Amino acid sequence: MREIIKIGKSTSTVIAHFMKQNNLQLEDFKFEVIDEGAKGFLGLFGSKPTTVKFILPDITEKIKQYAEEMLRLMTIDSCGVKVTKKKDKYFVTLESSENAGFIIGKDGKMLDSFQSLLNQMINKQEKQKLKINVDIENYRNRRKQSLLAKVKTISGKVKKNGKSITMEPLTATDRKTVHQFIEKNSSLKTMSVGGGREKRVVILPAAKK
Amino acid sequence: MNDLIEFIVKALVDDPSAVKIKEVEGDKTTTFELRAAKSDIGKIIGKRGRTVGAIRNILSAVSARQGKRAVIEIVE
Repeated sequence: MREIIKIGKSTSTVIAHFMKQNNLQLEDFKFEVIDEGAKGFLGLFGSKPTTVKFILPDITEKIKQYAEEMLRLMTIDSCGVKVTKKKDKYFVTLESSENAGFIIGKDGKMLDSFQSLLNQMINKQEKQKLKINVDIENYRNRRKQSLLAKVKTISGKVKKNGKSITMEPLTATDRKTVHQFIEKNSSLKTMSVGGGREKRVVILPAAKK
Repeated sequence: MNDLIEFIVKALVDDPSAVKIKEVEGDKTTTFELRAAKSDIGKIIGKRGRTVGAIRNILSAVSARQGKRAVIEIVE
């Protein structure tokens, strides 16, 4: 647990400011009013500020520390690390324009390795299954878009020729993207073949009724 | 580089005090010999060698940038 004490005009302004500053939702932290303060006479004299203590779960902070330490040991300087939480997932955003290419690596290999190690390290320390996503310069989304563009071209060919097409081996996340995309298309279906790193997605025409 | 491996591996195991890394300097390649508690070896290797694969990935990329080559070996 991490405790932070903030002082401000009123309880509500202190909390609102704190949430905005740290990008938090109400359910992300607990707070305690230590000193209610006083409005003072006509707001002129004897007014005292409010003191609020915030109690934060330290997981976001811990993820940030681990990510920063890893980057430092990887001799990557000047890389910003931002951790946010959305539902049950933690999002780590790295900010380093000069090192982005290196951190992403070929086909995102480096970024995936970094993400998988960070997940395992944090899960081991926290003794629970958390999901941590690591991204830099919107790479995940860019990759998804280019993958979907490829899938669209292949889908067009499958529809035109009525023959199935097997895609190149993809990671589990990428395969999921393909399956979900094709699911929306009633005239096509997907299948997986192979195992391990060689697992591929096959796009085939759905059986006609 | 030693510190990087140590930091990652120690965070993954049950017994961090048993983690020992020996750096063996070669002509072109540096070998990092990794020792850990027997029960922890599996965790370092991971399912289908995925964890050690990720460590190798990062290690080789970082050393390549410094014009070096590095391998990691798990010694039992």
